[in-house]
Amino acid sequence: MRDSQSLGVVVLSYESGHQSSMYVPALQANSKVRLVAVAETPDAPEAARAKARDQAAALGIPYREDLDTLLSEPGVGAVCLCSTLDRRLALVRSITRAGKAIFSDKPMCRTLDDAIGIVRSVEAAGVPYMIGHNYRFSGVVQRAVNAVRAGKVGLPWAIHAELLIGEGANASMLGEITNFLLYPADAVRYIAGSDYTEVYAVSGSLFFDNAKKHHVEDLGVVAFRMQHGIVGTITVGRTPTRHINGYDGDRWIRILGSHGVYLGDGMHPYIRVYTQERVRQVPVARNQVEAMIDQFVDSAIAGKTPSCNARDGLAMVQLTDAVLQAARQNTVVSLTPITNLLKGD
Amino acid sequence: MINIALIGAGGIAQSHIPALKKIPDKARVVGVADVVAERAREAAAKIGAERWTTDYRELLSWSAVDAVDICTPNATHGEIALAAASAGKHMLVEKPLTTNVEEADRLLALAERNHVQIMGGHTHRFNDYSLKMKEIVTSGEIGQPVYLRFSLYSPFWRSDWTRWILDPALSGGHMFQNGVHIMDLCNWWLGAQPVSVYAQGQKATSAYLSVYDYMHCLIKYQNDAIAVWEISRANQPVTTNYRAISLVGTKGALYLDTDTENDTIVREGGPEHVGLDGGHGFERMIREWVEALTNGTEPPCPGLAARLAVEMSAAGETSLATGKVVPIYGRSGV
Repeated sequence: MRDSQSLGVVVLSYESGHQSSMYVPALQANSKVRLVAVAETPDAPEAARAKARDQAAALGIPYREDLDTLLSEPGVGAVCLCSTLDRRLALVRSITRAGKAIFSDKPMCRTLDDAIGIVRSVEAAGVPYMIGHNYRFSGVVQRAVNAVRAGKVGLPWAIHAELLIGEGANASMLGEITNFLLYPADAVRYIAGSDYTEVYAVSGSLFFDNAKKHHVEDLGVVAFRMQHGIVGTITVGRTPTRHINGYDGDRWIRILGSHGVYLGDGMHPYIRVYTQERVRQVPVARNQVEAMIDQFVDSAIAGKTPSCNARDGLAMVQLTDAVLQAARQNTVVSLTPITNLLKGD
Repeated sequence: MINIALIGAGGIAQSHIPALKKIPDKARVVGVADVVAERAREAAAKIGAERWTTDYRELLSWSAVDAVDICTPNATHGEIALAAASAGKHMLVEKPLTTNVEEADRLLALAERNHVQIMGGHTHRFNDYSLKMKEIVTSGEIGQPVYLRFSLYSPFWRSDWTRWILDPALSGGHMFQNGVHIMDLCNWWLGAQPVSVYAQGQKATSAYLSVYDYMHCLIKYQNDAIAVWEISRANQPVTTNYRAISLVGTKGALYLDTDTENDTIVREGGPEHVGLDGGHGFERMIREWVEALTNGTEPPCPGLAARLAVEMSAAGETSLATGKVVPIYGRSGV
């Protein structure tokens, strides 16, 4: 159901752990949302189907595998999609055929071709689509955007960002560039209102045994150039070190502009807590995932394109590919403008 | 007692002169050379040197001189240092050692043949913060250092813009003027051999600048360590004075930033930082140079390390100009 009051949401797939750890709790916290069913497709692996069945039981809502039928029901207004990356395009096509809004876990998909396919499908159907780049909805990014848009630093000419997760046990098996780069990179792109045009990157398996063993990076540093002549760097990764911010680690954004400097700390505002065991900093601000989901719900109800849309997802898939190539080849890689990627068939 | 002669009595020499005067029991300044006679005479009077000249070659012929402290504009370092090495004089060369790699290589080869000791004037190594960082790294407390970010945001150069610093023919470019400091710190703290440099820059103050007033640089190391640094001399407002360093190791991390090294004063115009005192870098650098000369030991910033910073700065300038990643072939200087 999608009316001015509420949104019926189908929880599609639990293959990404974010479904249970982030999105469903945020959907449950939104008073406009009614969870309609948990769904999987019959071709999904049995383990995925079993997990979805269990989650449906835990939520006390039906488990369904007849996705097309489910999506055709009037009580369904949107889908929260957390399948594996290789299934995303096919599932998005099913959902857009039914004209329902989509919230998708990040990253959008695995390949640039799939990302282009998703954008075309979503835009042809005219359905609201949001990609889960939740860092965009954090306090520091919102504050930075507001400062830049208000002209408080003048014309930005360099932007730097770091997202270095603390207290990790293992690196992501995707590699932390694929896993995390999109968060700060999307934030920088959002703040600058400009697309990336060129990247160079250095990465390494510096901290974790699993990263070394499987040849995936646990840290990467990107230098970039954007439209409007903006340059900058982004560090992304995960370290095992005990951190005053715990898992949140280091997350900051610095903007150098013609008339000022913005120094943003992703932990602000925080309370510092001292105990006999350790010192930690606890953020005060509202959960950014809830802020993101709230905007998705409002966009889906209104039938409008949300702030973090399919083209933003495509931009991050393209950027991630380019950064991995740059790091692998130790060279600078140019990016094709998004509009050119979407031209033709 | 080491007999030192000062070559160049301009801006940076004003930081060397007080430091040289602080060690009267170990060194004395016996002469000064500067192309401007008045400046040479004044510096000699200030430091208590008996002789001065406008020709550094004349100074190098004085037999009483054991070592020279070269404080001239960047592009003259190579020529003067080569002449000093030919004359058998030990030397402290203000950074950069030279403004091109070929000159640095010739200098090191000549110095080796003539048994001349060279020290690079990388003052940052001798500041309180950098020494403490190095001390903690060396202790092994954070394991192997593998990621370094160094950020330094400042307003436009607070010196006469018509002089040599903004002329790349005389300064070598911003990489050689300020970047070279951070190149050296990266190598020193990480204790690793760089393999490539990539840099980007802006001429943020004016399109008519001949040097980049803002740069950042991404360095790849042989042991997979990564360094990234940013230096700005382009920030508004002019009160901008921000430094942040994070050095992450396999077992821990070090952080130093404006919040951790400053007090704050709150006035009508808003809060201002009070601090960013680098310590006594010049004093320590010159004292340790003289001690190394006295004891016949390797100086704390040897010529090879300064040469590596030159190669990286040259690579940085090339990268700024071409937009490409530039390999570092250099001999180990770490």
